[in-house]
Amino acid sequence: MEEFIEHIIQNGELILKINLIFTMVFFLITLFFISSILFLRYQKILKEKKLKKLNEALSNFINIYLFDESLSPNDIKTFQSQNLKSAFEQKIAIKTLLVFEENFKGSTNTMICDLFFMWELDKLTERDLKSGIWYKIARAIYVSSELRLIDFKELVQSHLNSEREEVRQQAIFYLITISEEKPLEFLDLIKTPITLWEQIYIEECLKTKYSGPIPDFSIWLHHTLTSVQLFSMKMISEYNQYENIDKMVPFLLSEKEELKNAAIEYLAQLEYSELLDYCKETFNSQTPNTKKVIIKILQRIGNTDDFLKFENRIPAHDWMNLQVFNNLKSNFIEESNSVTV
Amino acid sequence: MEKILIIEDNPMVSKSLEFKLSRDGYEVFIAEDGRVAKEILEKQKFDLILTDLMLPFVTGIQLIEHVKAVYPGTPIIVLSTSKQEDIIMDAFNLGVEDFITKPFSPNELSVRVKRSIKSASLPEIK
Repeated sequence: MEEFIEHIIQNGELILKINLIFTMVFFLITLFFISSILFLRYQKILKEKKLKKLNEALSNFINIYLFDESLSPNDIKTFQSQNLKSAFEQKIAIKTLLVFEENFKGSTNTMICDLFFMWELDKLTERDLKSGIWYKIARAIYVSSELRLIDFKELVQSHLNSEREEVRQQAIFYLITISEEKPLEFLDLIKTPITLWEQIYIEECLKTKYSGPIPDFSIWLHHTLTSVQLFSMKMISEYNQYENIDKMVPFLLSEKEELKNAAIEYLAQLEYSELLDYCKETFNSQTPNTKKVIIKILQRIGNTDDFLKFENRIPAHDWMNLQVFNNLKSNFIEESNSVTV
Repeated sequence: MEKILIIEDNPMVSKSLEFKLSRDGYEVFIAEDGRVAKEILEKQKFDLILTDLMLPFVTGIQLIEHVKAVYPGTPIIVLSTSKQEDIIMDAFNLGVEDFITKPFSPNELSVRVKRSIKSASLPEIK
């Protein structure tokens, strides 16, 4: 083989020499790639092995800490210095603590939180919160919410107007979770409009993560953001805050169509007694969109005659609202027939 | 020493339960799914069975049916999430003794386990 290669180098044609060079280059590249793959694979196996060992050590240690009561603060520090040196190891420790926190409640959870501080994992969380990298921030806020780390409130609040939706959502989740009596205080600090998904999310968090007194939603009726005002009206109706009806009525005269429409819709849900008269008096001067809202709520706030009287008030060219009206009318006729039968 | 069989597919939870109940003085056996649990149950009888409802291969309900048919006197405590209301009702209808929702307090679990074993060992009043 060596002789053959030497022969080509000394006596071979140019094309053969080029061929030989390329063969060697490709051979070296292939060798490099295969070695890299093997090396990475080996690294991955090592990492997985280390991770498994760490998970096991953490799980055993936490169980002893929670249920054995024979550990001293020194043991906790020793475990930390031996097993939780790198950021990676600390992240795994946080993940494990969260699994325990998720499954246990009562004094066990308080102990888990204490261990979090004894292992100084709050430092990593704080570092992540200040990192400026959105996924690290979102993860750190999530950890803070799950472990109810109230000390990070100011830091988390600074991410309320983050460009990333994920960070904003985690911040909302945190602020509602840690709150004891003013869960929506953060709305005062919001500068970017809250999306429909965020509104649903806030509503859900309020129901599942907060157990204090329900706030007076009228506080945010005059917020600078329309989306917050709309959310506030929705919540007033959702939580049947009848005492706030008077504060919602002025929005029937709002110049912003969406606020006016929301006021009509939610006042109807709250069964505001003077809404029908308002609808009758102003229907002709309303925009097609507002007319649509009125048509939809008529049956709820009035009787069938009230509803049918509006048929002649819809202009012939307003085909959209005529269609809405006719659909509701046919549904109504079907329902009446089925009741009669 | 009383024997307890834990059927739970989350290894971290089953390990904690094993740890806690061992410390309370019980001999604890673990099955990660309903199929393994059935195999263990074929070989020995337990003083109490602690089971999740959402299990792979054999569901918690099928397992409860099996235990109640083979060992009618063995008390069963269900450890599950509160969202599974319809399944919880089925479990109670099958004669489950107690129900604990996740997240749970390990101390409360200890008390309930102790109480269930004690009630099962009392002679029936005729």
